[in-house]
Amino acid sequence: MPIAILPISILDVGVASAAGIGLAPFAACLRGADLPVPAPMAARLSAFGQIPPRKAHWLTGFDASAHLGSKGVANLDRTTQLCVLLCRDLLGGLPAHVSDRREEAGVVLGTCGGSLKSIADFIRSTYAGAAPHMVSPMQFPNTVMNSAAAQCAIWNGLRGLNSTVCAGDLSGFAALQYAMRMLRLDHAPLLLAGAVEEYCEFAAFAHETLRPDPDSLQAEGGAIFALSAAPDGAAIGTLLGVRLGLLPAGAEVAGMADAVCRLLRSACVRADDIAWWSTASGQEAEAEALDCVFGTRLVALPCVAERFGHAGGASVALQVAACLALAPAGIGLVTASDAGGQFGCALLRRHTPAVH
Amino acid sequence: MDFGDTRSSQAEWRRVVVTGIGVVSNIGIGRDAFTQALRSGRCVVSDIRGFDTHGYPYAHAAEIHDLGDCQTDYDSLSEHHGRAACLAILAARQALADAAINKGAEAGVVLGTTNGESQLLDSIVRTWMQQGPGNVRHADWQNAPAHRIANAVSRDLGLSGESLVVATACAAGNYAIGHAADVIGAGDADIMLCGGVDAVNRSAYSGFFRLNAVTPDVCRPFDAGRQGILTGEGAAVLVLESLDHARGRGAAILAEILGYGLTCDANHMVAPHADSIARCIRVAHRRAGVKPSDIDLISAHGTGTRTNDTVEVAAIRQVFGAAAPPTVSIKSMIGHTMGAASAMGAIASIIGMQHDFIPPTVNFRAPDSACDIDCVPNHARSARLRVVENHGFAFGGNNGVLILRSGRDIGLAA
Repeated sequence: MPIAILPISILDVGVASAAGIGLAPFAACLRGADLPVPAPMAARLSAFGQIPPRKAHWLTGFDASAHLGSKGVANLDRTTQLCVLLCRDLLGGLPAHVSDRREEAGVVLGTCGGSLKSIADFIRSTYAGAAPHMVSPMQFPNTVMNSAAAQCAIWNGLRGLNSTVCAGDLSGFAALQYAMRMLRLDHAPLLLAGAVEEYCEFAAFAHETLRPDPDSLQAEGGAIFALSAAPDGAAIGTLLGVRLGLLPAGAEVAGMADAVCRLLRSACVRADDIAWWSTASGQEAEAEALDCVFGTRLVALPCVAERFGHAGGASVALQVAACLALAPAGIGLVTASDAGGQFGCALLRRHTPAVH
Repeated sequence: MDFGDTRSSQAEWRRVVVTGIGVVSNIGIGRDAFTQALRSGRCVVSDIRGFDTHGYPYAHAAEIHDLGDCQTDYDSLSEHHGRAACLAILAARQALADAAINKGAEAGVVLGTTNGESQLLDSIVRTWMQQGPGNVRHADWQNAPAHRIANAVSRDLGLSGESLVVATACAAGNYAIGHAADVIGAGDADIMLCGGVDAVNRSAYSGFFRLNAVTPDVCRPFDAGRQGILTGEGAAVLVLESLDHARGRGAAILAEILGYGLTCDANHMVAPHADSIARCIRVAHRRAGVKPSDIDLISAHGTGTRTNDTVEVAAIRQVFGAAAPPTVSIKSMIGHTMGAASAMGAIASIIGMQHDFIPPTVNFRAPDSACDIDCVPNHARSARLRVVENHGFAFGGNNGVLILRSGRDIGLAA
C-alpha cells in the first residue's frame, strides 16, 4: 500500500508580478484593476543590445537594493534577487516556532533553465573578451541553474534540502510535486517552494520564436509558497496532490482526463467534490478533458497568462497563487499543458480567513 | 546485520533496488567496457573537440570521442536532440535493456544535470552574435530548456511515467537517484530510470579555468600535487524498481538503495563546507539505517581541487574518525562529468560490489597530509563490498549522499 498522500499546508505565499511585490496587488489586477502599461526594457539591455519589439509585463519599478540592502545584491541576477526577497518575506511572516527551524528547512525552486540572462551573458563573454577564459569569476556561479535556490539558502540561513527542478513551463508543478513528496517522506519540516522567471533579451527572443502570436506577451515574476506537512489552523490553503507527466502522442485529451482521474483517486477526492478549475496555459484541450471527467463545465478562475502574459517556468506558480486569492470555497483543480506534451494538475483547497 | 531499521518502522515504505545500469563515458561505453576500464584504472585525456579552443592556454578534457557501436545511433539522434539528450538516451537504452524491461513500460525518468543542453545554448549565443537573433534555429530554442533531456528519454523509450530534470549542479546525479527511489518507495511508481548527464561545453570550461580549477595535465584527487579538475562528459542511468516488483518478474538485483541525505551549506556559492557535508553524511546514514562502521567504501566527490579534497576528507573524518573506509575518486579516470558525476559514482560503486573490487584513484603520486586517506592509489583492490557511500557536492552548497547495498546481500527470501 502506498504511503498515504498527506495534505500539505500552504502557510503563506509570496508573489512577484508586474503589479509589484505581494499577493494583494497581483490579485487586484486579476480582479480587474489596471495593470501597469507593458514596458520596453531598453534600460535593462545587456551587451546583446537587442530586444524584440513585443512588450512585456515585467517589474519595471523593482529595485532589489531597496528591499535587500546594497551589500552583495548587485552580483545576484534578477531571478535570484526576486527569489531571495520572496523567501525572506515569507520567513519573516511565519510564526517563530516554524521559521526558527532553518537548520532543517529547505528550498525547492522550479525553473525553465536558470537565469537565462546570466547564462547568455557569460557565454557571450567567452567570445567577446580578450581570451575565452577571461570571464567574470563572480558571474560564473550565476550560470548554474541551482544558483537562485542556493542564494535563497545563503541569504536566509536555510540548511535543509535545497533542490532545483525543471519541467519547462510546468516547472511550478515540478517544484510543488517534489516539495510535497519531500515533506511527505520527512526530508524537511518546512519547504519554500515555487518558481520565478526573469525577463531578459534571451528569454524575450525565445518567447518571440516559440510563441509567434503577436498578442502573446511575456511576463516576469513568480510565486513561492511556504509548505509544511503539519496541519496548521493559520494555513491559507491545502495542497492535496500534484501530478505531472507526458501525454501519449495523439491521445492528448484522453491522457489529460486519465491524469486527472488518477490524481483524484490518489488524493481520495471525488469528482463531485471539485468546485472550481483554473488553468495556467489556457488550452482548450484541458477544458475538453475536464468535460470528460466531470461531465459539466467547471467554474473557471481567471487565467494569469491572459492578464499578465506568459511567465514561462513561473506560470504555474503564479496560477496557484491566483487560486489562493480568488478561488471560492471547496476543492479545485489547477491544470497546465505545454507544446511539448507535458501535462500537470494539482488539487488545491483555499482556506477562507476566519472571521474574528 | 539488519539495515533499514528506520524504514521497517514505516510499514508502508517499499524497498527500492537497482536492476539495470547504462553508462556512456570516455573510458567505456556500456556496463562491461566500463567495468573493465574501472578495474584497469583507465584514464583518457584528450584535446577538446566540442568547441573552439583557440585562445585558451590549454584545452583538454575527458571528452567522449569514440562512441563505438553507438555512433550510428548517436548520429541519428543528434538530428533531433542536443548532445546531453543524445548521451542520456544512449545510456537509458542500455539501462532498460540491462534490466530486461521492454520499451513502453509505465516508468518515470528523473535525470540530473549541471548545464543542461549547454552546447545548444552556446550555439544560440554564437549564432545571435554572428548573424542576429532572428537566425537562431527554432529547434534550438525548443530543445534548449533542460527538461527536454528527460522528456527526450521518456519519448524515446515510450515511458509513460513522470519525466523530470533535477538541476542541482554537480550533485544532481545523487539528487535524481534519491528522488527516483522516493517515488518508488512512497508507492507512486514501480519502475524509474534515473541518473545524470552533461556535455563538455565552453562556458563551464571557461568558468572553471578562470577559477584556476582546471588541471594542466591529469586529475589527481587526494594527491599532494593535485591541480584541479578535468572537465568531462557522459551519461549514467540506473533502473530502479520496488523490491517486490523486481522479485515478481525474476529480475537480477544489482543493489539496493538504502537511503540518501541532502543538506545545503547556506554559506558560500563555490566553497564547500566540511560541517555541512558531515551533516549530510549523518542524515544519509540515519535515513539508510546504517552506522559509520557499516560503510565499506566511500565513492568520493573527489574533484582533485586543493579545496574540495581537503574539505571532503575533513568531513569524512568528522563522521568516521580514524576508521574511515577506503575513499576513492573515479574522477581521476572519467574527469568531472558534472551532473552525471554522482550517478557515475553510483554505477562504479555497484560494479565494485558486484565484482568484488574497489576502483582505484589513478594518477596518484604522493600523499597530502591535509587530506590523508586510503584512496586506493593507482591499482584496483580486491574487496568484498557490502555497503557503499556515494558522494556528490555542488556549487551552491547542494550536498547529496547516497547509501547503496550490494544486491547479493538482499537474499532471496521474500
